[in-house]
Amino acid sequence: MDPTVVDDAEDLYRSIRANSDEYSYQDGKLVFSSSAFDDRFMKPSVDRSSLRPNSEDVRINAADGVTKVVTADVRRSCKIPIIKNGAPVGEYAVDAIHRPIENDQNDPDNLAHCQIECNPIIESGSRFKKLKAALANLANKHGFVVTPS
Amino acid sequence: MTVVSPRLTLDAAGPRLASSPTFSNAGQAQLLRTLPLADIEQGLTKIATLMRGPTRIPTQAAAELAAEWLYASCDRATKLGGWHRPHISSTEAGEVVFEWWRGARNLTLYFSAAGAEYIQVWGPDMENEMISGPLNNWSFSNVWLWLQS
Repeated sequence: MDPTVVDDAEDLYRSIRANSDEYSYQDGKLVFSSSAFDDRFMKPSVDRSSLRPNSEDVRINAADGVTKVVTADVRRSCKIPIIKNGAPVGEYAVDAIHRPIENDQNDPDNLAHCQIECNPIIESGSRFKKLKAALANLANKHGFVVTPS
Repeated sequence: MTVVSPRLTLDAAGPRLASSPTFSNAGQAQLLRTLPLADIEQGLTKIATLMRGPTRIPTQAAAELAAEWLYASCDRATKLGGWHRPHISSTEAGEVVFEWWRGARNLTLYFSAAGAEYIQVWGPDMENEMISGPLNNWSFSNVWLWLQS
């Protein structure tokens, strides 16, 4: 499958491990930890709602929950000027990039697979920490779309 | 107080990272008498649990620094007001993470072999709604007061 552009209005689903550190309840209110969007390659995986109509199918394990962020919100979360020698030379941007998985040795096929990536590529741990914080903040608006059991 | 992991025990004679919190002599003597020890014990137990895996296992240095800051943050926040035990998790990069939420505000502390840093978050905009910096006694007090304000 050829990758396609993710629409601004599209939901991006993220599987959340049940009974994990990825979320907690503070004074009875659900909050997602930055750890919910951690990724060893600094490109958190999500699934596109247009290609994954049933959000329950996003779960990695049957007991897991699912949260979501909206593509337009993700794209708005980062517009940071890159300054070199005192002059702006570009802009850091966050985007949702469709990365369908097909015939991969390590992962099952997932045509809805998408990654939240930075351009230029994130090389700084500090910037990735802010990206995780942004995604957790956005997910807090929506809570669980599938509640973990 | 139960020491949950001998390797997490604070050793005053051991090497200290630049990010290690500092205590005054009088403060140190007073510390254990006044802190909510159940919170400390549960926090240390959580860090020890993270060290046992199976995934996102913190480095030893990160766990030790986090244990030091568990005492220090508890000490400072108890004096400043509003202390409650942080949500504790870990990352693929071997860091330990403390998080607190209050309304729309989130305070996240990261501990790694390289040191400790904080991120203040009050929205998803990585440029305009987040501030990060190195964690020390002074910056912790400032961000804790911000969280409580």
